[in-house]
Amino acid sequence: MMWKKTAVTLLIIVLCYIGVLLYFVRQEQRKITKDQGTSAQEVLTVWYWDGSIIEIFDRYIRDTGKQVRLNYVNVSIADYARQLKSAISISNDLPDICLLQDYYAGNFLSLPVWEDLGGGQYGSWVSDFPSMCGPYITSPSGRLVAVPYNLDAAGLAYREEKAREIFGIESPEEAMEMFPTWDALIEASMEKKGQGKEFMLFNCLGDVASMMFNQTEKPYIVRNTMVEPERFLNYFRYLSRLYKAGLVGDTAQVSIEWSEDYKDDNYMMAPWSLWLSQYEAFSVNPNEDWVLIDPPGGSFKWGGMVCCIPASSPRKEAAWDFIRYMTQTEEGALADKEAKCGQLIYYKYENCDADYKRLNIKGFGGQDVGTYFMDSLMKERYERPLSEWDLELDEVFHLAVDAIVHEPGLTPEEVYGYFLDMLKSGIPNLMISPQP
Amino acid sequence: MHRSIQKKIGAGIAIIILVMTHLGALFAYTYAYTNQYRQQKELDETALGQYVNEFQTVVQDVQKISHNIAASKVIQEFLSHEDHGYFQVTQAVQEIKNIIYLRVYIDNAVIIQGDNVYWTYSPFEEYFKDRLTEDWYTEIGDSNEVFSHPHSYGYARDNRFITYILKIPDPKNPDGELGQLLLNINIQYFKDILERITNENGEYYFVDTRSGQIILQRGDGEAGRAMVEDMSTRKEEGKGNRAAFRSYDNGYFVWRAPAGTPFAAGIYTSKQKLNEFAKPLRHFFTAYTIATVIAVILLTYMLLRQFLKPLSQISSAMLLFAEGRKTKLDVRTGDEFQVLGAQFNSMADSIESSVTRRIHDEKVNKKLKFDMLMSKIHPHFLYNTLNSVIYLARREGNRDIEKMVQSLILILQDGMAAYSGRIDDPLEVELEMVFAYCVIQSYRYRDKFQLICDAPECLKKAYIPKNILQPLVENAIYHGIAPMDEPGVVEILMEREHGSLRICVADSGIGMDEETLAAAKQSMGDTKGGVHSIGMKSIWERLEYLYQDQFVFELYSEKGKGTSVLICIPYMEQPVQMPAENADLYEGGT
Repeated sequence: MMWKKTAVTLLIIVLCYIGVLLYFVRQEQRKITKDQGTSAQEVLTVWYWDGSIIEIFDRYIRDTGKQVRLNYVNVSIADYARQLKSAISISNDLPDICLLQDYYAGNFLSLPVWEDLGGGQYGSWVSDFPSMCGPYITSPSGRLVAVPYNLDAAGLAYREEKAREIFGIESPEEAMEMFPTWDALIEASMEKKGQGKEFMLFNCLGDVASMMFNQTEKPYIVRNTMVEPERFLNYFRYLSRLYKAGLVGDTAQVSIEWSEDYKDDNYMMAPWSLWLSQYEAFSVNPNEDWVLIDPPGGSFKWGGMVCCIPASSPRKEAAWDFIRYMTQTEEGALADKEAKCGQLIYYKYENCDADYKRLNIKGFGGQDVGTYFMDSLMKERYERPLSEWDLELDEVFHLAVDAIVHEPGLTPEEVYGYFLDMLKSGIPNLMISPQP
Repeated sequence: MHRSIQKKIGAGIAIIILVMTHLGALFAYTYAYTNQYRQQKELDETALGQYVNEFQTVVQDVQKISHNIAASKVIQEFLSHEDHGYFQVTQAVQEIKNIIYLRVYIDNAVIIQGDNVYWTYSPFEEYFKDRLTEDWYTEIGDSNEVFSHPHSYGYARDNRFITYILKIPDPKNPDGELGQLLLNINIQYFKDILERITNENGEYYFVDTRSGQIILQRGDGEAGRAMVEDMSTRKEEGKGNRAAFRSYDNGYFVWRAPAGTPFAAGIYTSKQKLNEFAKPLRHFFTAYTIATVIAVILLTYMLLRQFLKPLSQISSAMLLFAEGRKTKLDVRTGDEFQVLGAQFNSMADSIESSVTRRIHDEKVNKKLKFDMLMSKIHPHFLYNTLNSVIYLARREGNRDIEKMVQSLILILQDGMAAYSGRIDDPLEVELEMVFAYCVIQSYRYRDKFQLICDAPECLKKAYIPKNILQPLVENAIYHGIAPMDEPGVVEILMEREHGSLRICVADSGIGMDEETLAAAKQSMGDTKGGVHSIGMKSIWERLEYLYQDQFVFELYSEKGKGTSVLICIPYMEQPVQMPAENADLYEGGT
């Protein structure tokens, strides 16, 4: 009997030993798996110019618990398209997520480098998104190659005190009534200048040029043909007049000085969209008197982005998961809104409540910028149709605009001539109708 | 008691195993920890090697690109004169941009020509020109190619850059320069590499060895400062293909300084991290030790209990035996315990037998004592009476009665001496008793027998047990000679043989046939029988009592030829020493 007990005890002890050994072996295996998981942790590379994406990504990790790391490569907004184009042209590694902005999206959407996000494993369809997004998320052949991200309307921000002082404007409605068009604004400003009032409207001629450039529903280039190129001559005339009248400064667009200019009240107006929050230019305003209204000529699409996944990315699934979170979930919508660059997104555009719309931004006093943005600017904005040469057109246009500043001796017509020459140089196949 | 032994042995074994297990576990843990340490060091060195390779690739690429830009026709043309129109500037900037677009780690570039500074991000802005008054640029000195200290610019001032500065030589004037090209490298890129190659929580440091400034770090910086100090004292060591190693605060760091750059990178592995790595090992050895100790204690207890079970049985049997209850052990272990069990059984049997005999002896002794007490009648009354008989016989002139009564008194006095504790006498005293007896018997059996005593004078001092001769003479007279018609002879012979005294009492009486002789011999060990038998038995018992097995008492007889009794006892000239165990038998007999 005793021997039986001893044998049973021995057996139990042996089993305990085996149990202990197995437990530790399993623990080790788990650790190895975890280490392998950590070392093999997917790293999503994203090229972007706004560090807010780090905040959003961190929140994504918190919300989803995904084992992914973000490799954020800061690429200047001015260089983004060219950097992307260079990488594609020499078959360099592309980031796992590309953000295409409206001013160059047309150049890239037609390239066969993007993952088809329609149906299949991604489960998305063009019809899932607001109809206005269609051209920005599909390739010319109709494939869904991108998903819309941020709402992209732009309006005009003006300093209330300065506007009251110069123009006697008491309310936003009065401002919009006073400046329904660029002509009206220029006339009124010239009149005040003539009365000896010292003031400047904008600090950057390029900003005004961007506003004018985007305030159209008519395409600039259709296939290889320029449509109504004389519109640019018109822009140059307006711009030249504004600059020469001392109503607009010579600061380069989105330069460091451009941002610094808004720290004091030398300039009364600025084009404004949500994404400008990243520069903190408007928040440095002790008077809290920035007011957002419709610009002369009407609101326009500016700075809208869509997200694409390169077909060559080895991390498409992880990339899509983050994109889906950022652009198509309630949690992502909240993360976007609460990030430094507070973005409202297309996912919430057609069915959002008042809470989501409500957005107060530092520098704008008590104005509910978000609601105005959604209910007014977005509803009536111009949307310029895309073309495959948007990037070149935009670059050349702004080079020509900068020439007004840096070559003051040039007439609008001469600038227009340079513009066309540079455009032909950049787009050799472009057909331009005879100059008027 | 057996539990105590079990506990003692168990505790002893448990302590030994405990110490051995701990020592073994400690040794194994130390070995495993050392292995882990070495392995981690190799991993860190490999990671560092990978970092250095990637870093050097970037550095070489930057240098190559800078030279390409400097050699570009557009740039050479641009720098060949000083007055630049808007479109020339934009063309030069675009040329540089087209080259650096291919490298994401180059944030932007700057062309410096005299006082003109053209920053590719915003060529007509004064912003970067103002940055050139900062230390990172002013400290570069006369070097033609150099990496700056880290610095910041732009919107996000937390973005830091290292600028590669290349002085573009003037082909027409070897001592002059056309301008400078600055390539701003985003430090974030180096951080990404470091974070990729190091463990999730590994500490790393990226250092500018010229100033000792830590550019990138993950860790509290204390180890970084020690690493920087080490880099400054052992500058050349980290420049080779192997990493420089140094123990620090129970951990260690390894570092390398990529050749041709003023930077170095190091990885610090702290004691806590090493301990973290060894945590599973520690847990394993702790669990293993605990499990082993429990197992050893349990098994030792059970096995000892098993092995010592016979001991427990023996112990219980002994306790029972001590209480008077005899137990038969049945131990079949095939070892010493079985022998011990058998010995116990044997010993118990032996003790039981001994006790039984002792009880028997005790009964005999008590009976003797009782008999003696019964016989202890004060003899004075008898002596006075007998002396009165002697007086009357002497007055009447009856000499025979006087003689016979005197002999009787002598015999009675001798008997009283035995009662008073004397158990032996010199041979001559015993012979006197025999003579006195024969005097008395001679009146009864007148001329019937003759006593012949052949006792050498030298033997008369020898001590022999009291009253052993008289009964033999009495038997010879009564049973040997008296039944005959003619007279007979009773002969007492004595001699010394070595250490023994031989006494032979022989008669010429009727003798005994074989059957009677056998019955007589048998009766010596039997209490039943007649007076004759009782006398013989009494002698035998006393001889055995006094001499145990060192005596001879033999009977020889032949029908019609007489009977002889031979006694052989140790020769002693001193009274025999009475056995202690029987001393009380004679107490109070004085």
